[in-house]
Amino acid sequence: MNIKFLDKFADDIKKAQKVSKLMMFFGFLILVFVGSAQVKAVFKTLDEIKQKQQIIEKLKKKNNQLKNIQTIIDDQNIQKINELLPSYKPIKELIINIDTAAKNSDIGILQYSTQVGEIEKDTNTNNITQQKIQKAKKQNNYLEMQLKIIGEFSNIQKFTSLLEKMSPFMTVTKMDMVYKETKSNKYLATTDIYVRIFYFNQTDKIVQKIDEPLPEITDAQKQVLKQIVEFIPNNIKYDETIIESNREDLFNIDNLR
Amino acid sequence: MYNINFLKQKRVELKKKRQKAVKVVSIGFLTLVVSIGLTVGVFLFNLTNIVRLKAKESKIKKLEQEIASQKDKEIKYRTIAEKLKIINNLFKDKVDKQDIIKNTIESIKDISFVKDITFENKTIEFTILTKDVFTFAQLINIVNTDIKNKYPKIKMIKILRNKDLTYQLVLRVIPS
Repeated sequence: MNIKFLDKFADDIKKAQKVSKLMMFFGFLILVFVGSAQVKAVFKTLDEIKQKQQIIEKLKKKNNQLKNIQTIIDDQNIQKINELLPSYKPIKELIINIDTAAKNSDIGILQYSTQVGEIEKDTNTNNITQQKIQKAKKQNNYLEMQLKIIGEFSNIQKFTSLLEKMSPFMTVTKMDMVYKETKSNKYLATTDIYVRIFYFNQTDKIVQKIDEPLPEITDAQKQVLKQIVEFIPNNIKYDETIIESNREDLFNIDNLR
Repeated sequence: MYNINFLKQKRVELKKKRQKAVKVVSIGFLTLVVSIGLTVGVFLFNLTNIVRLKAKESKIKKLEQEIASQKDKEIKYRTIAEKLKIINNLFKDKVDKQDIIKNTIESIKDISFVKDITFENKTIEFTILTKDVFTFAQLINIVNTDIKNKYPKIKMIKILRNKDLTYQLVLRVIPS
């Protein structure tokens, strides 16, 4: 009886050892296949959380910037910038500025003509700054006017100087001044001038970019803001009210009143 | 009479085997429990992270909606920033020709007469007239000293002697 019991006990021990080995094996299997996959998933999720947090920080910053846009650039500066670079073709401003500058500098305008100009393409430019300028130039347009004026040298200088201080932004790109002595022994200069007036009317290309931060205004651009204030504003008053009349259609055309 | 107990030896052996088996079973069981425990723990940790991730995603959505509601403001700002960039470039590109013309004429006005001024492609050309060779020599001297000091990129393009014995100099100034 005792011997039988001892033999059975020995068998049980062997079985238990086998089961134990199986448990270890399954334990390792779980660790290798399920556990490692879970660990990978954890790292992936943590990485995603980090990325999302970065996006949140960016969006929060942008949201705050939008809420406090006045602190970046105030309404007065916005108005000045819009005056200096309007979003429409400033034909009226060009003519009025030339007229005002001519009156204030005592010169005579012999003739002028204007045409809508397009941006020049300078393919020979290698300099990085120049390339940037060219790139920026492609985004804005200008009107060009050719003038023939006459007057004393100092007055012509005053005229060109005044033009370049008026808004919208104008610049003399070409000038040819020839002196001639008049009958009264006075020297008068006849000058051909090319003047450009700039505008930016590609506002439709500017869209909201939710994920992108707002463009920063650099220190150099902040310095420009100080210079903008010195420009002489154009005081053209535009009609903003439409006055309706109750008159009858003078030409008696149907549906045209 | 001797009484020999053969089972005693066997019992001792089995006792040792039993102890060893208990160890092995314990290790096996522990391995399985730890493996399952770790896996479940990591799974739960991942679950909480997924909940955190979902919260972040909804926060992003909320912020995006808030930003989208300020569309007009953003477009206005972007337009102004773009204009400011253009103005900055226009200012950089602007040549301070007024000062160059004024300073050059100021330097030579006592001995000569500026007959012609041409400005094109950021270069200013002066056609300067002197009444005789002596004043012309003085003019060359002023060009090489006063004017060159102010504007190092100058070039004398042409010297001409006219029929009336006046001398003419074409001077090119390139703003630096």
